Amino acid sequence: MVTLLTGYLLAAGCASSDVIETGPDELLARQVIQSAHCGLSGPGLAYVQTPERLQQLLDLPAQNIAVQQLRQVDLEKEHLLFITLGEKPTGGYSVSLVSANAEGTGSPLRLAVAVRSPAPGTMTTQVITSACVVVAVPAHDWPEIRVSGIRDKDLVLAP
Amino acid sequence: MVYRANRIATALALSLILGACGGSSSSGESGDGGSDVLLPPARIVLAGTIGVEANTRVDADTADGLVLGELPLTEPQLLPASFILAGYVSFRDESRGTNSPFDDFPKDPEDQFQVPFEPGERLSLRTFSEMAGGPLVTLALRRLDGTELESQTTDPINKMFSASVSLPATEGAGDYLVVVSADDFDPPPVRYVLLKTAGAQSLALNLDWPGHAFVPGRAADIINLSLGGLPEIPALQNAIDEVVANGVIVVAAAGNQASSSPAYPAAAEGVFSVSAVDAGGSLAGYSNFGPWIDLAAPGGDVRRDANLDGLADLVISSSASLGPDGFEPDYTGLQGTSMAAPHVAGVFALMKSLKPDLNTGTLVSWLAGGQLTTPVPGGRSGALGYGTIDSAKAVLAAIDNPSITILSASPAAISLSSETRLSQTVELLVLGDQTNNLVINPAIASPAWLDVTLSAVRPFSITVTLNEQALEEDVPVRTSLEVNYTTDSTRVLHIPVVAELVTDENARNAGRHFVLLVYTEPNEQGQLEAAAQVSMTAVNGTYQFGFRLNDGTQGASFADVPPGDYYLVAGSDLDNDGIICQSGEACAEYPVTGMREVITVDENTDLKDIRMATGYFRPTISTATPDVLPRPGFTGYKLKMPHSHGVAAPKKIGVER
Repeated sequence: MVTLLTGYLLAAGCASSDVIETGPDELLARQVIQSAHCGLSGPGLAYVQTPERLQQLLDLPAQNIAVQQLRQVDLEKEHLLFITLGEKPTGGYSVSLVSANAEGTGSPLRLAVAVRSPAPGTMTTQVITSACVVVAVPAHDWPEIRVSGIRDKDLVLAP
Repeated sequence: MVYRANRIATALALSLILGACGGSSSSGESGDGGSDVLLPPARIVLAGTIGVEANTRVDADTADGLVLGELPLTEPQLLPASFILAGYVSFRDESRGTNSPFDDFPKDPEDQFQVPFEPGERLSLRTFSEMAGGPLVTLALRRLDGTELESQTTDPINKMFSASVSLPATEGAGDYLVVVSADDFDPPPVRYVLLKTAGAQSLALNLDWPGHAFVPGRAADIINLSLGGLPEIPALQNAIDEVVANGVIVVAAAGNQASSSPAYPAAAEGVFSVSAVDAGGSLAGYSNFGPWIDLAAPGGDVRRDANLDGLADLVISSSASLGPDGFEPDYTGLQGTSMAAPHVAGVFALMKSLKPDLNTGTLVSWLAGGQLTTPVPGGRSGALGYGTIDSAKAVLAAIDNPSITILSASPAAISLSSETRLSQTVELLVLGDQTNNLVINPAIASPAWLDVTLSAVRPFSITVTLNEQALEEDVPVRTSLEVNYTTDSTRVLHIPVVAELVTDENARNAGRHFVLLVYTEPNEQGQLEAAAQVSMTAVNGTYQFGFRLNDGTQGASFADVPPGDYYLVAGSDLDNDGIICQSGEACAEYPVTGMREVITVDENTDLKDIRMATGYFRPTISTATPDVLPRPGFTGYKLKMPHSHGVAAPKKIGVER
């Protein structure tokens, strides 16, 4: 099932004077879509800067995501980050963006996500899922993107 | 409302005192409201306790509470986050003037509960008045200040006796008011069940409804439960026993934990437990298994392309996708025992349409007799139970004295290519009335790229061979063979064929690949981790790799491997999670993908002509190696990281292919 969150999540730290060199109103990250079926089976990150790269990620089997919403993102202005929870044996999982901050020019972009899991003993659909959230971030030359909340340790990507 | 004594009050009070065993209440509250009855001391001949299932609740000012108490509740009754509550609403309180002691009721037109909610959580109500002209009951969800958020009213005229509300996503988690109210109506009052639980209780209750424990006239013949995750629960078994006794057939998904531990409701008595197979008929890697499996059905397995159709083995499932105007009906390829169970339920429904008295007992007998499935060696296996559902066979079994005879192809479809196999033989099985003579027309039309040979004597078969000279390079082709045969009637069997002559070897590219020598024992996280690795992109359609022996005399690099035993594997890391060979990622294993073997590396090792094949689809599973694959719980191979402490190492390796 695809869920669309169109709301722009205000990123923690955006009001700081150390916000990376963008306009004062520019958001550091916004949640474009969530999905329970992203087709990516491992917990990890995939960074998208080109339409070709996006198409690769949209060609995966066992996928059901809001393609149009992703294609509407202007990759000249924003890049996409697939934050994936990995393959799970049942329904009941989701990932959502909680916050984003960057402490200064040239510093890593830090994202926090929340993972929702079915409570132990809960009755769930017995379908293999691969939950993810796709986040749009400003098309900067980020030295590093760190994502907390998926695993005990940050997931790290150098775009 | 002030309590007004009546006949029910007297009857209930008396029963409570009698139930108190010697005059002391075991519930902590004495049943006052009636005259004391002194019971003589007596020898206890029967005693016991009655347990109550967790999270069960009752409306505190329901009829007996109102009768025995002075006033109905003035504050909302506090309920836990998960519960099943039995309640009661009644509008009038005047006597009906009849002789029936149950014909007047304490007035209780509204019940209020304070319930913890999370955004999106749903609460449901079901009334137990089946009168078309019965009362309207409204279920409302409000903030604690009384602001209404959602409400729904039952519609008895249209036979809608349930209502539900959910907390909007815009609301915060916390306590909310749930209000159940009835409009003005004549007695009898309305009993209802309010439930907010995802556990066994709701399943048991919901099973009762289609099984007509409450509703006159059965609402369902077959129940499919594409869900699971519960332990063994007596209440659930009781509910299943009841619906099965009422003639309802229950099918459930075995579960996706790749485990042999019984999972409920599938493992419950009276339920057909369905494991999942891929397109090649082998147990899917995720599927549960064990002696409690009854039969199997296609559930998909994204890691495989067992039927060689060029696509991952998924089950096309009805779904929804987000379009410009909102959600639109769509189909999505999914995998799971949730997809397998409906195949069985669907076939049972076809059978039921032909044999209306079909029930669980008959199906169990036929299943054990091999009349519903493609049998497995030995009659039954822990992976597939009595075998994979065979719809043609099963439906024919449901026809008393079938007068028809049909041909069925096994396998049902053919895939040929210059890279896999150029020829395949298909068995033509005779199903139905075996007394009918069957003659196959030897003229089977086929395109120039396909040669067809028929064996027209029993056992019938057909062999198809790819004619490479007639194929255009790198262009997939399809056809459907029509096998005409005459038996009780003239019929046609269609066998789809796909084929391709592949020549683009130099242009092939499966993306950046990691080649690993992984330890044969998992690490503390249960992962098979690389002892040595190299990475590269394809050149002229191939990847060249090499590892050096790390004998301790020189500084080791990632490509240096210490002496030891390893698996040699390769693959892509599409999502940069440091693990290769996951779903959607290319994968290769030495010597054959799917049947890796240990390589011993020492000073005498000299393996310089290793050849492997990588790709995004998984191989056909050989029937000769049923126990080698799938590997339950396989989660890929972990890359060796440059910085093992702190966080995963940043990588600049993308997903380019």
